[in-house]
Amino acid sequence: MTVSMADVEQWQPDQIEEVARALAERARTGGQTAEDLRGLQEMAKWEGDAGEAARQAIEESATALETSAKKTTS
Amino acid sequence: MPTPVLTPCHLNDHTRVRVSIAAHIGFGRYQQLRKGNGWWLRLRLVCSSAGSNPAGGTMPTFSRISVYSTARNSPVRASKAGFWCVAHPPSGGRFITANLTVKLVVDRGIAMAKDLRVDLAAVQAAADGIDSAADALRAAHAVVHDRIAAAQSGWIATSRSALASATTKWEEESAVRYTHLITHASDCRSAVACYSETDNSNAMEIEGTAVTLRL
Repeated sequence: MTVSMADVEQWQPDQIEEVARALAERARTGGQTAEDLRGLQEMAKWEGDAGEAARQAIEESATALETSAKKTTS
Repeated sequence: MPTPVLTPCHLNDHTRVRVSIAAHIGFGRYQQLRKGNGWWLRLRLVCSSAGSNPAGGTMPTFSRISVYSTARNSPVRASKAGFWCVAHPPSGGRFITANLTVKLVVDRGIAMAKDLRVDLAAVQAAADGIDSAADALRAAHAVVHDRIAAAQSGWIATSRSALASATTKWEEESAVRYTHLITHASDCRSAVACYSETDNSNAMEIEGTAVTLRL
């Protein structure tokens, strides 16, 4: 695919910036959710194999959210 | 008086213990379990008559102590087949009452490697917290995706289709993240229900055993 100068001239910088700002917000909320999940103090009180598995699952989700946030903003 | 040492098992703060004492004579009844240096079980033993004692006298003999705990498949057994208790006061061979304190030796570092501690209210609260986080994430991402959709008019030709394609991927990814989170919350709630059901079931089982054994 090629982008012609005619195409570029039709671009609307405000709308491009709006998408950039929206994506930054998406990344921020994803990172915030990851922090919220890791901050669940109640999970720490759950001992035993099931508790460990639950914490691991939560950590995987938090990591996935952070990774997605980084990809979105990179 | 020797203190019988019971084999450590999967005891923890939430384990309820019932004791059955198979005596050559008489019967026994547990009094209380308290936590301290190890686990101590105070037993009140009542015998209807005195039995023979290799050491002489009229002290009753108890052939076996079985401790039933709420932990499945984890009976706590006495390390000795039997032990002697001192009758106090001696009652001429009838209705002897003795108080024993039996130490359940539990090494938390080793024997309690499979220790299980669950605060059901805390796990429930964690599930609620995960749900809240999931809902907040979904709502925030929905707003973002709407903003991107609204801004697509400013993207021209191939860039617009590329943005639309990327937006679809972001929406799908957000949906996956949300689904994973609510699944975690659901799993937590299932665990709470399972723990509660198991505990109630075991309690009923133990109570039934106690009734059968007339404890």
